Amino acid sequence: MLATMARAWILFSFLSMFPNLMIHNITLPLYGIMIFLGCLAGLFVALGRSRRAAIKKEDTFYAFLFGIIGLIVGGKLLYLLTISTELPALFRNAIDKFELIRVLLTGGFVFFGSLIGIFGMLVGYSWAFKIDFKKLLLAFTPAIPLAQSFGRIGCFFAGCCHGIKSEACGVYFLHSAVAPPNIKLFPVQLIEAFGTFLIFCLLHFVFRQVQDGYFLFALYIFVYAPFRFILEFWRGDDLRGSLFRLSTSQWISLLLILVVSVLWIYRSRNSIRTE
Amino acid sequence: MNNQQQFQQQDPIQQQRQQHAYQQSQQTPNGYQPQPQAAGGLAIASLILGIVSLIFLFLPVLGYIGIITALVGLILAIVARKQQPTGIATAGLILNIIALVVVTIVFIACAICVSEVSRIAQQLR
Repeated sequence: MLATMARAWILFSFLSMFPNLMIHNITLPLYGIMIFLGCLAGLFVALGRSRRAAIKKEDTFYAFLFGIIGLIVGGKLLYLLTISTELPALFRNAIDKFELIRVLLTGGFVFFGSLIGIFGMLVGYSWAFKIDFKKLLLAFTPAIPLAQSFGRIGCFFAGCCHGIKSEACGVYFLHSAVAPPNIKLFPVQLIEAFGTFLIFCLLHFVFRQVQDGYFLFALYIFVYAPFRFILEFWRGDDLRGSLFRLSTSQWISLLLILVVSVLWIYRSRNSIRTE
Repeated sequence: MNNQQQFQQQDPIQQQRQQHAYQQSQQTPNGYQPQPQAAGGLAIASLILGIVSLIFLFLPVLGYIGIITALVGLILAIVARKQQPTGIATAGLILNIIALVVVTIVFIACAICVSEVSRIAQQLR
């Protein structure tokens, strides 16, 4: 067991040095490839669950595309919000403003913004095309942590979203554009990738018989948000902003737990009253 | 005279129209009614945006505008296909999906942006 873990550690340390894939002089960022593979895996899971959720596969596919739009727009908007205080100064002092806009448009996404975007677009899809939103949640909720798991592995390859300095169990990101090259950093991305994969297994296999999409989504929030809150203490990239010693993502985790708890209590009281 | 006899004595063209209207109402039990002319316009718009997105993605400066046109084109293609699945709407959908895949793999690199913005922000402090 220890030997296997040591071999895995050596492999990860080796892989952390290669953020890109080279194919015939074309450089493909592994982060983007992992995001793509994660979305594809999420789509297959959602399509597989669409029969149990009693939704047509066509609607699942279109809702998935709507979710992708929400993922991109939501993640980007929250990222811009986290750096909003820096934006005026950045634009004032940037020599090449087009280059700055390019940089802001193409990189930098916050997962919680993507999650809110996905949720919003699924609500929009169910409202526009008269699909039961509870059924959409039943099909899509386990797909979210699975896609997230792939994305975090992509973050590991890119060296972004890295952890704090750690001589004992850190790795070097020698070719990363973000992580400092000569410092051993805790691979918090891999911990989150493993944790979100476990959450996917919990939602998809353990709670297989659940037919209530709202319950499944609430369960995902109640498991992932505390997990993310704790992991944030090991994050070393503090550009994303903080307030009263808690990071933006920690505040959003607390807010999500609060909102979902209130909605759950309200829903339980309503169902008791109707009975 | 009962309803069936009345129906049989009607003009055949009127019978066909009534049957078609009845079948159309049966095909959309959830109340969602297709609008053929609007769907045609949306399908063409999505196809144009798909073509534009793919062209922009291969141009150095306009590539990032291609992301926005691909997102808008995708929404239009889905709405068009839901209203009336035609070949043009399908083509628009496929082109916009290809554009989004290219954007995801090639352009979206959180590492690059964060490093650039952090470097500039630190210089300003």
